[in-house]
Amino acid sequence: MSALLWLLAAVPLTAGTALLLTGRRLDRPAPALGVAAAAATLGLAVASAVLRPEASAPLFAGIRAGLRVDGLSAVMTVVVAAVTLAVLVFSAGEKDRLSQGGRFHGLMLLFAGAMLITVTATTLPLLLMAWEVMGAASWALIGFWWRQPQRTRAADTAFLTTRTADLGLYLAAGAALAGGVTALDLDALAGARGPWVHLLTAGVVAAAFGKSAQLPFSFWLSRAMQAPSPVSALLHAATMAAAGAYLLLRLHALLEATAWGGPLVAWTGAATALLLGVAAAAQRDLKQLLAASTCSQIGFMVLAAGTGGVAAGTAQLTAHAAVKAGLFLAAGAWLYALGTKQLPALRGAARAWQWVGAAFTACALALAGLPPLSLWAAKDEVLAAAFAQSAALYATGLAAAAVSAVYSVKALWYVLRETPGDAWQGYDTEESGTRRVTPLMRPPLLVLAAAAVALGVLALPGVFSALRDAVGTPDEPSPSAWQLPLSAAVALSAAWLAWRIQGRGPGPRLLRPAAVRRWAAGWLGLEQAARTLAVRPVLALARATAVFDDRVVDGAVHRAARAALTAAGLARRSDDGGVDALVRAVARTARRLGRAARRPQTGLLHQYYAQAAVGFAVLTLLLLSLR
Amino acid sequence: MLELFLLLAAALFSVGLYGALSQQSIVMIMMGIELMIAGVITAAAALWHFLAPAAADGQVIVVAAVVAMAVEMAMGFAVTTAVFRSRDIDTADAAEDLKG
Repeated sequence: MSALLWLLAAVPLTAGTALLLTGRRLDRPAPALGVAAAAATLGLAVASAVLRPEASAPLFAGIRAGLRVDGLSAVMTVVVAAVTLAVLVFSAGEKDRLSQGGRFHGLMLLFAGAMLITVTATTLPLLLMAWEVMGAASWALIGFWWRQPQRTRAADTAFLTTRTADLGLYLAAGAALAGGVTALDLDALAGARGPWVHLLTAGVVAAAFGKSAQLPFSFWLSRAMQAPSPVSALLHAATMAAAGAYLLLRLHALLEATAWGGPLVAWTGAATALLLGVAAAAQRDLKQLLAASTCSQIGFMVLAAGTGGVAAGTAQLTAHAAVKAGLFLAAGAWLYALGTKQLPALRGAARAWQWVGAAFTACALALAGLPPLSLWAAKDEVLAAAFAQSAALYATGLAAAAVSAVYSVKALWYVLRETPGDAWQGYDTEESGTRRVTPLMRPPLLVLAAAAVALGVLALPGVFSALRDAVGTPDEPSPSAWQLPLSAAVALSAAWLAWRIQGRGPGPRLLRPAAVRRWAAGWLGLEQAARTLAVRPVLALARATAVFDDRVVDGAVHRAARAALTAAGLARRSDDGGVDALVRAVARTARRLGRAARRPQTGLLHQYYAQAAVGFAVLTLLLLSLR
Repeated sequence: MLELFLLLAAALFSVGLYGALSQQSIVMIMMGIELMIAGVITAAAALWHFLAPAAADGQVIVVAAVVAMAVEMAMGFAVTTAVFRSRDIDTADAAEDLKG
């Protein structure tokens, strides 16, 4: 049983690593290999969702690396594997754009494999490892076309933002150890002692908000749109952004352990859902619109986690995965064909490629929350959980649902229009389009659109209660009889209104006044705020510490070196002038004495005699004078 | 009488010293040395004879000096002969190997 689980993690990770390590040799067969690995992973995910295996291995002293597929993980693994397969099949159709196929498919498999470990991990260290691998893979994928500097800058922004928030998980791990959860078991985190549980919750919440681009971290998702479209689809639907929501759903018991955890998470989710929805409505770039809508839709999952609606959040995550992957792949197909993702330039795109258009329409209608499609059903479960907590949360959520109808219809209105005669002027602004959609792009789009529609079955009470039982929260609130029609009415009227306003031509705009529109179009100024409040002070601090380092630390070292040199000079002088001079003087004197002693030794016998005679004479005189 | 012998001894010694200092030939130098030793022997014998004829010590000194002179002569002539054979020199100034 446990072999199945290890295999589930190992297949994408091994295949991905192998593709990365082979360099460019496997570029040609890489799409086929990647799809095969993803298909095998999907098979393993389905099998493990049915068999519910469990595995564990020693990691650190007293801490094990545990993997388990429970109800929540079962849903997540299947969603991740299915979206990965769909996205990789689509990428295979785009292989002339993704020419370095080995690197692309390897990174995608690594990305998905890390997410699979994240959603099955039962201990914090293992989750953290996978979490980090995911972050690194997202960096490499967003900057996949690394020759273009704006793309690598975007990758850096995304990585630094999520990475900064990720530090929360390290903080949480430390707090858990300090709070007595020595095994770092995810299920036991809520039992941390005393004040540590507050720190633990704060760390987890910060990491989750960063990864899933909730306020105030949302801006990195906007920059991440520099990624190739399949990457965006995977990143938004099933991996990176969804991971934060998953973490909060998994640790909802922890949020309930503190008085502030649940409300904070719920209100942040609701605020993100509403405000980033407004930002989405102001975008003129299709991928930017979809990115902001991801923040908004994940806001609903976060709202669900904060209000204890685990099954509701899971349903929202699943439905959103299908919808958003479909939308991004459709946007990617048009970008591939037309070379643009600007909404005005995409007018008529759905008519030109009807299969893509049909899939996009189905997914956009689901995103709008129109009944009886998937996100309508899931969102109502979320709103029911919110209503059980507070009516204000419910009202905010309902407003956010109305906004999602507005931005979805805005996007839909553009692509469904007649193609204008001058449409070609807007083409090829971002890359050179191919004017065709390859056959391999069609199946994943259709499957995802079908899933986006079919997951509306979640609205059926029996289906949803089965999901509740599966994730282990059977007493979660269900939408009452008036909530379903109310949300349907709100979504339909908001959609109708948006369609009417859009239809009145370029004059009337959805958002007024213009200042609000600009504020929303610029992603609420979040990146500017982050730059002002975080980046600049950090850089200033870094510069100040660099100066401190240069002047004080380095200065001390340099001064010490100079002082040592001076001292050495002095010592040399005293050595040369004192000790050495003395030694040399001794040697000189000895030499002089030696020369003097050699002088009488002439080798001439007579001189020796003379010396001896003089010597004896002196001795004799001495003797005589002393007597 | 002692003064006369001592004068003789001093004369012998002085003549010998002059010869040793003034002569070039090794043989002549050695002859000077013989004269000096002869002066010493004469003085020693006279001193013994006139001052302490009862003690035998003086005789022993004289005999020891005579023996030393004989040995010195034998060694000296041997060296002179050897130096002459090997280097064909017979004057002291030509052999200055011991120059410092």
